[in-house]
Amino acid sequence: MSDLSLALDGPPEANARGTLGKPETRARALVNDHFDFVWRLLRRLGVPEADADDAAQQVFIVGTRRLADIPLGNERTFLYGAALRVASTLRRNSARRERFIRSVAGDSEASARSPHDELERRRALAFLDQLLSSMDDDQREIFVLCEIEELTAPQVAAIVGVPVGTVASRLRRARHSFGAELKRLKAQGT
Amino acid sequence: MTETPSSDSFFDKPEGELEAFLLRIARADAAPKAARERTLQAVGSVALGLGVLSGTAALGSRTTLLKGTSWLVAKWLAAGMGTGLFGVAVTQGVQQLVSEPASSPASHALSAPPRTPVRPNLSSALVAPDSVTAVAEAEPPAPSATAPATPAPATPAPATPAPVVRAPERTSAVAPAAIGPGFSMAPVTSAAREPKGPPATSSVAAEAPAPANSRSSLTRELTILEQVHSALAQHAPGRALQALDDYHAEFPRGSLQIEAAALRVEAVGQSGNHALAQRLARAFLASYPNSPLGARVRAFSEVFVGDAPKP
Repeated sequence: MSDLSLALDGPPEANARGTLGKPETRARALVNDHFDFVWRLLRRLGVPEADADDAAQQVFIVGTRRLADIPLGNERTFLYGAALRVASTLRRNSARRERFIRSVAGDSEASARSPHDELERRRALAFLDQLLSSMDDDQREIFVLCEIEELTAPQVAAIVGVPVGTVASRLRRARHSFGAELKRLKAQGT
Repeated sequence: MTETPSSDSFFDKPEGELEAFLLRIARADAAPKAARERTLQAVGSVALGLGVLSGTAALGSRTTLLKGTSWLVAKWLAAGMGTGLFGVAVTQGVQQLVSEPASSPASHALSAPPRTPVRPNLSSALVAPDSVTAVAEAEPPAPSATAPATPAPATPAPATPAPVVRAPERTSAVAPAAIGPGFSMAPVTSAAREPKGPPATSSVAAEAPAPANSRSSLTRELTILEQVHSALAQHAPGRALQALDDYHAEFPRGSLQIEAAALRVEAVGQSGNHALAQRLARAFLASYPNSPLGARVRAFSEVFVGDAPKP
């Protein structure tokens, strides 16, 4: 998580063309450096676990095809933006949401954690996703990028393509909604 | 990661603590290793194409092709023109393309002497006109193009289409599109292998993009591709490649890019450059996983697998 610098820091002219060696090398670096981020982002934006694999792959294939158009240092901004679009498309399919519930319930990925811890972790993530799904999509994106990916408002603004002020106001509303939903579910004892 | 509570459930935490706990768990969430590996494979095969592509300069307007709105336009055009001359013309073209028995191009390729040095111009196969692919994936996949599709767990995003290397346990849905580890051109459903039939042609018609193509230019496109086709039939790969280059020079955003790409695989194979043909085939299958021509290309490239690849 140390390289949170988005392209905002780099000179925009530093275009990849010709300066980066083989595209294949850069494409692989793209995956190695950003796969976890993209995958996690997709998950928190509501992509079911069963689909996250394919969705992440799509994000990176788009990235690979557009390699020449992604300025150096701007990779994450691009990939996150692509991930937002992929997730948004998937979210529209409500049937997948149903599948998500089942996949969380029935999944058993091999893990170094103890079965109890792993189960607890999965329950927590499912609960978190339930909270996130109560938000508007706009708010959810901002919330995930700010609170989970811990990006700064200007970075998020660049990814989502809205002014920084909008990021701030959406985040405020998202936090409020998150807290309220948490309170509600707890009171409900879900 | 070891933050899970020793108490009965995280749910018993006070609200503030619970919120912080959930966020910590979420931040530590990581992708399965296998998923990363599959993506590396997929990206590798796409990048392979791009690697060659970046060496050819003929693609000035590529980025405009990829801009967000073009696929919408293309989709609209494809949907609206399905029954018009456009659809008919494309269908003709496709029928022309698929009417030859699948075995024959392979034998052409093997018997043809490598007389013409092949220019490694991959542009046609690899300029993935993203608008094209977008349309292909935006439309519900034709039943014949993909295997008996349950609500396809794969093809998720119309807006960002891409070939997908699937987890082995989930190959059933769109198996033909999958490029397995090490480029095994493994099990293909009979539906996907079948190069003929109305569903296949209609599917291609839906895939064909045609940003701003007039009828006459489409006819012209078909004419060129017919020349390619007949050159291949006469075992004249050099002429076929020349015609394909002409096609791309004249129609950098042509409606029949996918067909041209498939023909190029055959032409290159026929010219004797089997290694390049195989790479092109792989790139084709990655770029157009749902194309009915994929079966033909795949069958074609399989011929080269046993071949000593000799660039």
